[in-house]
Amino acid sequence: MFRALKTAALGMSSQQLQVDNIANNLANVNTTGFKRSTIAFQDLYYQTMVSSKRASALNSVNNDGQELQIGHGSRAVSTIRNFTQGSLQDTGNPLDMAINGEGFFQITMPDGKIAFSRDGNFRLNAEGLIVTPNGLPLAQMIEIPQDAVAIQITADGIVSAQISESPQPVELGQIELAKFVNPGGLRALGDNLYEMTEQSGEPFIGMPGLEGYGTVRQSFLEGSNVDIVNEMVGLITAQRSYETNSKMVQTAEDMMRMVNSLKR
Amino acid sequence: MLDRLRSPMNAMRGISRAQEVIANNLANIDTAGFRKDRLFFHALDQKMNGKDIQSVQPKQIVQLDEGTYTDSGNTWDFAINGKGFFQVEHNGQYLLTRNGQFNLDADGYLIDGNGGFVQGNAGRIHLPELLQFEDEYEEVIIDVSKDGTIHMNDLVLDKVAMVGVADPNGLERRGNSYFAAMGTGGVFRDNESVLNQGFVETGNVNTLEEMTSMMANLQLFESQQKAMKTTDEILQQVTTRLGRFGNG
Repeated sequence: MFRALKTAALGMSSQQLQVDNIANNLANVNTTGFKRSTIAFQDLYYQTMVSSKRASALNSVNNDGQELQIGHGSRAVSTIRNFTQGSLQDTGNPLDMAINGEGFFQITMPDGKIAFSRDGNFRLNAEGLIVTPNGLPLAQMIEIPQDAVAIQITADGIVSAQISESPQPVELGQIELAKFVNPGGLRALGDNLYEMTEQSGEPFIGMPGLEGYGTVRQSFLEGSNVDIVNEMVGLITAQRSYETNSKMVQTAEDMMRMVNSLKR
Repeated sequence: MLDRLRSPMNAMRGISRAQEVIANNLANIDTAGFRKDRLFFHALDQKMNGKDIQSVQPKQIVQLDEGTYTDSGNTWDFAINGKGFFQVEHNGQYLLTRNGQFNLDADGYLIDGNGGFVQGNAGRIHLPELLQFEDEYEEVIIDVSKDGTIHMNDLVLDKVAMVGVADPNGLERRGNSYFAAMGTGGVFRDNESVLNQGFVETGNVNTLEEMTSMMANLQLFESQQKAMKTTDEILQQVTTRLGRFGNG
């Protein structure tokens, strides 16, 4: 019976992780470019057993006996991120960008590596570079002159600025997007950034507007793709499953008590 | 008299096993592609060495009915609709699984969550095309059709193997959502099952069923325990009374 107790306890901790993950999804319901995640579970190893020696002898006579395989519960193996499109919200800020499609912005990390982001909430730093709220620059290092009066970003990522003296807007650079064969394999770094892994594969780099990369929309931000109703249903299910597993613990405990009360 | 103690003991042991199986089913409610177990008991009545022997034997059956399908939107998530299994090569062994949450590794092999190689038309599915691209700006769309054929744009790359099991009773569990086909007949190519890209199949555990059997088992366990206690009381009466009579 101790096995049932431990198995049920593992079931409970699996559900606890499930709730933790849902809590994180819900906490990020208003995070720009946030992608919800789910946890993948697997069953643990199975112990093969034959009830008793006499039984196995009988089974060999009978020849339809089958050995038992008793499982030991479940464990969480990985988090899987879901990269479906979030809704686009109009902000009116000229440096806000949203990707309508599968691409990612490329952000240069302090160590020179490239991180990937769906969060298009950009601003200018003191040097006029387009940076994230944490001060990390876009990999294309687009610099906006100090005397620019208006910034325009086209759907294919070309950034141009209207300089006060010249009547023609000046083209400053083009934003390139990265795309992955398996975005689900990206590792989250926090701050809305992801890094590539073996699972995600090397990024394909392309101009916005090419099929699959998506287009850039200026003055829009992508909301998270967390669906509150979906998460709430998940939360209810996880809570109930937790309860069910706790009932199993209780039942195992009841049975152990019965065994103990055999002896007067 | 000792047989009267032994038979409830055996019953209690069997019920404990049944509860352990239920505990495992419940712990795996959220395990993708999990298949629940059911423990049955069958009574055996046999003659051995001229003696009648009665016993109750547990028998385990893996329930293969389908779970529910949830939309994940991931390129390498596959769910099988039908009786088929994915075939995976893990540590040199060929195993079966219903958990289709796959990934591409650094060398371009399609692997499962445990690093096992997913099998295709001819052994491991190897997609180096997705790693070496001459033109960086090339557009790539991976589409996996219902029969498992992997398309990259218009190119056919490989086909995810779906296999059926000749003897479902011979399925042996190997943990990590794996099964091994130990029965006669082995596996055969399954052309009836349908593969759904971007979906994950959840387990087939039904909480209501599990709770009901759990409660029923508890009742059975209690009645066996009562039987044992009663036998114990009778035995005590016998020893004390008979002893008194003997001394009397």
